[in-house]
Amino acid sequence: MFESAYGAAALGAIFGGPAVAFGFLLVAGRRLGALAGGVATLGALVSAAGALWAAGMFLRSGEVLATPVFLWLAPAGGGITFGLQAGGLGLWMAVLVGLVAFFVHLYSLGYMKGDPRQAVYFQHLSFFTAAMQGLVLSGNLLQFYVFWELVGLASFLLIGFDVHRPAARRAAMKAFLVTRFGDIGLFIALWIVYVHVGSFRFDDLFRAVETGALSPPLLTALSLLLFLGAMGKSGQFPLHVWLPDAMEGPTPVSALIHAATMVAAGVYLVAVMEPVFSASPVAQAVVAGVGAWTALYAAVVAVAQTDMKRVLAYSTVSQLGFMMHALGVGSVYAALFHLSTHAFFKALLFLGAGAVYHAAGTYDLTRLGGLGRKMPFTTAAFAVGALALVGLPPLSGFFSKERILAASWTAGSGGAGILLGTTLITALYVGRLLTLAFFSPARTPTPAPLPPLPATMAIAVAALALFAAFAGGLESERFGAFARMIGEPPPSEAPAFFAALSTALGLFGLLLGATWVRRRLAAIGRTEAAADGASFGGFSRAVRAGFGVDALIVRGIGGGAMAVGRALAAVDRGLFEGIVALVVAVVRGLGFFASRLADGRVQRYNLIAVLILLFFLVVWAVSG
Amino acid sequence: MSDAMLALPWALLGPEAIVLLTALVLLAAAWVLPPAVQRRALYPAAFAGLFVAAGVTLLLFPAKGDLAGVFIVDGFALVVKLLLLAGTGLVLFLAADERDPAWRDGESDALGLMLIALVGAMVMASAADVALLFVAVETLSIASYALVGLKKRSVASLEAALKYVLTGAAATAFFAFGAAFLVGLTGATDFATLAERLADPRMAPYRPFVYLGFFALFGALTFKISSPPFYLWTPDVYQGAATAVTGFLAVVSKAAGLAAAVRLTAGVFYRLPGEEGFGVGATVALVAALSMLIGNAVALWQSDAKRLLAYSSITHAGYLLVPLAAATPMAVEQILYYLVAYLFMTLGAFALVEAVARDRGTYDVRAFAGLYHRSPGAAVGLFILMLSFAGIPLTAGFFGKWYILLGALGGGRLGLAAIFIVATVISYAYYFSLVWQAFMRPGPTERPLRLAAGPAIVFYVGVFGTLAGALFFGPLLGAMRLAF
Repeated sequence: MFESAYGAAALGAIFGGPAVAFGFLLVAGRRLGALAGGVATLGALVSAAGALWAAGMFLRSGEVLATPVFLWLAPAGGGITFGLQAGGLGLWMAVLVGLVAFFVHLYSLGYMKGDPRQAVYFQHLSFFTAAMQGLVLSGNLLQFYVFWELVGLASFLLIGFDVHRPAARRAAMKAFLVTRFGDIGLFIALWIVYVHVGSFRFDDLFRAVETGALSPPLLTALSLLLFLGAMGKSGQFPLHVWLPDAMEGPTPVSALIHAATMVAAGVYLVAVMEPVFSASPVAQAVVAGVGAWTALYAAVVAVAQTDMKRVLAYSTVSQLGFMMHALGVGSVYAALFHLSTHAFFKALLFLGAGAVYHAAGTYDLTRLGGLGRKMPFTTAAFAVGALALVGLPPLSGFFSKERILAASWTAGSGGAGILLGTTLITALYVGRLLTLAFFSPARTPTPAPLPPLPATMAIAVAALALFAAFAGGLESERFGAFARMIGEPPPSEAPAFFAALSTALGLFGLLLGATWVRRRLAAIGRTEAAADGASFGGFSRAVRAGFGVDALIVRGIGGGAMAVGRALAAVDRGLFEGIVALVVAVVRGLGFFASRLADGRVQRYNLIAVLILLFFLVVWAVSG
Repeated sequence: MSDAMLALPWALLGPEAIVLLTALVLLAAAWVLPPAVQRRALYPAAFAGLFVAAGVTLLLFPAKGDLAGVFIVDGFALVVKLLLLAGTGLVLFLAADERDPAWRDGESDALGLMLIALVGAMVMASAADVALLFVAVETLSIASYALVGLKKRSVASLEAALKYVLTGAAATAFFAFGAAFLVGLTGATDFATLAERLADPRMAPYRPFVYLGFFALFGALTFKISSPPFYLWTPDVYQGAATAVTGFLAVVSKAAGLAAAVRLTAGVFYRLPGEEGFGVGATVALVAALSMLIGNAVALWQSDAKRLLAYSSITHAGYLLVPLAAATPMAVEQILYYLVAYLFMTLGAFALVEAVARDRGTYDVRAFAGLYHRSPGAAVGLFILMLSFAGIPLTAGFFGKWYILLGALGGGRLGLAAIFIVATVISYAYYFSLVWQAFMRPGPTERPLRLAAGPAIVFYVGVFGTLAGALFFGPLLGAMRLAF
């Protein structure tokens, strides 16, 4: 009895902490000014604490936690309910989101200091955190969808936070539209579920799948539609085009939303819907294939990027591809493990980039350099994250990547090979990034000494560095909690040579990237390299532009949509507006004549009443 | 004979008795108390009476029954009575703010009359006998006539009262006319017996007279409901009367009329075997359709806020009649839920209209210009109320309309459902003209608009009720179902 009450309280704290902070900031934010950040951070802290508490409860009892459910509409059959519930998977996500959100909030206190609109920023950030936690704590698809949309809205608001910059506004709109396209799939899936299962609840859906109430073609269609939604949010090819542009937003936002949490929502969706996906081999193959391809493609494009954040953005797309591939080959464990480690090291990398910006004033790799000596703390932390990304032992990224490779190998698809190749390319771009930013002579003079890193930023970076380094321990028996929370055992071990092979490829790639950059810089000289960013010249421009996929989507599909829109607008003007004008005229005419009836003469009123009654009688007589 | 009379469950009349007693006390107060004390004592006394009556009504819920078959206390009647009591309570807040000197002089009369009208209304909800219904309707009507004309020095008020009386007289004539046929044919006045005898196959040759009786009776009730044929009094009377009285007519009077119409139609006329040609349901549907279309079409032309709300009220009468026309098992629930939503939005709207008009000196809709800058809270509240009137989601008005639409479709009245939707769409235009004025047009002044305590209470109760009715749609319906 007490268990359930505490469980409900914990869930309430997870969602309520940031939600209350948001409400508070919405009403009183402007008056608080600098304190707004504190309120928001407190909300995030409550959320993280609640998540840890709830996770502890789950591990002890093994039972799903749930709050009382609020029944909103109850037509015959399933009703529309709102309530928070979570099993191990949801609670794990809640812990992850809570922790990363807290550290990003903390970091933002330093990063956004002095910004006149910081109250609005923290308001949006709290809104996002609340929506994201609500998403992972949803037990029915409709509520999930509502939070999914809210998370997208928060992302839109935060990407376009710098409202005065057209690039930021464009990026926000692009993110919104591209993810909207994916959301259509999710929406249709929602209705298919309701029509065929009669309820939005996950439990009811899974039971229907189990009992075979849904036909295989329907299951495949449903899975693919759900995956479409996931593709949008998690930036899978070709719906990845919004993520690099989303870097226009403030860097803490990039860390929280576009690396660790929101983009993970798509992965979470596919993971939660595992009973549905595993019933459709076709859908799983699609997921695995798209994931592998995305991983490779994005890694290649990342090699040629000249903006630090864009490298990280494409890197995120690539790593999400890894996670999707893992889900496609049937291992929720591997995908979620990598999601967790990636959240830590990618957030770390973004926050580190933010520290670089704080010191050097730019993200442009062609102009950075020489920071290794000037900011040792940041460099070290960044390096930890970078090496975790490459997947070198004993950092966390190594363990999670191994699991994915193992799962892929066991499944027997060619995916493992593609992923190994991607590992090499990942190491290449990481090496290039590290060298250009930190381990090469400075191309632009920076003030010496550099402005000190605010404490809040440093603490957040340090904490995430520790997580990135040691999160591999989640797998160990002592912390064996992870497997129990996910509810799945780890995939079988890969052949031993895999670990060695991927590590070797990683090291090789790093050295290759670093050396090649140095050679180019030395050979070409400072000014040209400054313009070129040390890459392949013409080919690199093509690669940087993502092989034209982005342009194709924006101009091709966008242009096509505009043409259709113009045609329809012409029809609208001619035909529909004409009809509307006619209808309006009829209604107004009717109103005019009817209003003449009420001219104030009560004798007439009574006469009209009698006439209407006679009318009834006549009609009755005639029709009788 | 007297034993039998004593054995009747008189307790069922409890609520009405308490309200009547309160009314008499209020009327007597004019003679007994000095004027200064009167003001302070009247309103608390009136509220006390209403509260006690509401309490007794709640107590009656488990013990239902009827008084000799003519006064039925069932779940429907009890819910309606609660509604009427609540509506009157809120109207009292508005009345407390009425500044007209003639009104203030006769305040105890005003309150007493209002409560007497309320008694009539409450009896109408329970009346299952033609004679009792007649008495109840007349009680409500005559007290209402007096209420409308209470602002003795206002020509508009007197004119409105006169029009009301004359229209009401015609309606009463119709009532008597129709009743005469039905009672004459069957020899009984209570609904149960009427239904039984009218359904008798031997009554078949007299069918035309039965329908004549129905048209006349139902027509008479449309006077109270504000729908065709007796709707033309509504704009003039709403405009001329004190706003508190207008609120009373719009909510209490209308609800009582609907309750009586439901009981009459469902209790007697829907029991008639076989609907030949133009039957009872079709008549109700036609009335509803005319109400919705005419009400909306004319409202588009209105520039006076009270007249606009009057035509809106005519339209809502149409909406409320749709479930009666569709005659599904859920019809009563649909009507009751919508009445609750309607109560909140209407009284809230009238409260704000009165406050704005008093401030700007005119009831024209342009008085709302710039309201957002003067009082953002009021403007937002107005927005919510207009959303509810228009039936846009996340308000009680939306759920009410949606539920009624489901009923119309379920009952097979597809044409009526189509007209319902068309009417709703037309109504967006004039409801949003108010919102547009408040948000988009600059007003001549930025001076903050302060609502007096009474209207403020009614307004905010209206707004929150609108939102709460939406949020708690499920629980509210559940509670209503418990009553049955």
